[in-house]
Amino acid sequence: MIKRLLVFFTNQKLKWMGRFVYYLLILLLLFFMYGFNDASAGSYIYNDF
Amino acid sequence: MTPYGSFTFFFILAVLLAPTVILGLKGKRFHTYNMFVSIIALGIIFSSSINQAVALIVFTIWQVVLIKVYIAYRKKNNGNTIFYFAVILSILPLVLSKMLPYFSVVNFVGFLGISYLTFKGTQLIMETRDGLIKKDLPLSRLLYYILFFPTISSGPIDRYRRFDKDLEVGISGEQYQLLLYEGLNKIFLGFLYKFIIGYSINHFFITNLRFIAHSHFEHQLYYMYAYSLYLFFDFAGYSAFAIGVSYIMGIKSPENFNKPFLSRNIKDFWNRWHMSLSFWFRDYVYMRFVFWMTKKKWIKNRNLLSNLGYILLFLLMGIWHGLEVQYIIYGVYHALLMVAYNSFERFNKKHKWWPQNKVTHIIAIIITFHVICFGFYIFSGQLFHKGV
Repeated sequence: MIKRLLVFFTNQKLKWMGRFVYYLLILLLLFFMYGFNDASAGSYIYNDF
Repeated sequence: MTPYGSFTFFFILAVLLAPTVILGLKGKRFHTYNMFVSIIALGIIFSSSINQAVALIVFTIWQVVLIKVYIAYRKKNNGNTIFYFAVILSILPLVLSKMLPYFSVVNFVGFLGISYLTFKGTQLIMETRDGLIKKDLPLSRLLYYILFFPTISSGPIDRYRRFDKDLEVGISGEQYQLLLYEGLNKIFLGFLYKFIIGYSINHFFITNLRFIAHSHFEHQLYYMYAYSLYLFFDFAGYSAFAIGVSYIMGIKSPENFNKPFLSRNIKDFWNRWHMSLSFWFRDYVYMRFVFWMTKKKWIKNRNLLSNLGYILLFLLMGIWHGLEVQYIIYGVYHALLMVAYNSFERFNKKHKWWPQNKVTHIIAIIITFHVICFGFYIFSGQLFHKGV
C-alpha cells in the first residue's frame, strides 16, 4: 500500500499538476486581494536597516 | 521605487529580464547584458530620490577606491594599522548614516541598502587581508558584485568568491532551464509570503488588534506572535524575490531562511534566521575576535572567550539595526540567550540532564519558538512605546 502511494506521489504528471494548482491558487488569491490595482502590501521591514 | 514593492516593479523586471531568459535558454552568455539590466534597474529604484542616488554613487566610488588601494597595498605589505584603518574607512559611511539622523534633519549619506553594500565592501577588505583575494579585481565585476540589484536593498549578503564563480561558469540551456524554474518558484513563494500571508497578518489582524483583544495583556500577547510571523513572512518573502531574480540572472545568491520557527535552540535559530547576516557576523566578528584573543593570549578560558564573542556579536548586531533602545535590548537579549544556552549545553554534556529523543526535540522547538517571539516583541519596539 505504502509502495503504491509512494509511486503515486512521485508521479511526474501529478507533481506537475500540483505545481500548476499551487501557482494558479497564488495568482487567484493575488487577483482577489488586489484586483487590477497595483499592490499596496507596504514597504519591507528590513529596508529600514 | 521600492524593489519588489509593487506589481509595476515586477512588470518592469519581466520586460528587462526577457532577453536574459531567451539568451539563457539558448545556452548563451548573458552576464554583460545583466550588467546593463542592473544599471537600468538601479536607475528605476533610485529615480524617486536624487539624494539617495548621489549618495549611492559617492559610496560606490569610496568603496571601490578603498578596495583597489588595499589590494594593491596587500600585494607588498600586511600591516595591522593599515588593515584596521581600511576596515574603519569601509564602515564609516554606514556609521555616519546611522548617526546623522540624530544630529541633522537631512541624511545625505544614507540610501536604500547602504548596510548590505557595506557588508560586501568590508568583506572584500577582510578576505584580501586573509590572502583569499590576491589578484586585482576587474572593475566591471567588482561594480557588478557591489551593485547587483536583486539583492541591493536587504541582501542576502553574497560572498565575492562565490559570486565570481557563478560569473565564470558557463551555463548550458538545460542547466539554465532548471535555474529559471527554481527562480520562478521562489518568486511565487515570495508572492505567497509577502503579498498574501504577510499582508493578511498585518492588514486583517495586527491593525485590528484593539477590536480583537479584550485586555492590554491579551493585546500585547497577540501582537507578539502576530508581529513575529509578519516579520518572517515579510522578510522571507523579500528574500525569496531577491534570490529568485538572482537565479534568473544566473547568480545563485545564498539562502536567508531555513524554517527558523522549527529551531531546537537559540544557536540553531541563528543558523536558520537571516542566515547571510548571521554568517557574516560569525565569520567577520566572532571568529576574528576569538582568533585575535587566542593569539594575544589575553583570555585563556575557551568558554569565557566564546561567550564574550557572542556578546560582542549580538551587541553589534543590535546596534547595527539602529541606536533605538529596542534594538540594543534585542541584541542584549540574544547575547544573554546565547551565553545561557552555551552554559546549558556544557552542563548537559556532562550530566545528560536533557535527553535527545523525539519528545524533547518537539518540546525544545516549542520553547525556542516562544523565546524567539519574545525577542521579536522587543525588536518591534512595542514594549518601549507608550500608548500603543
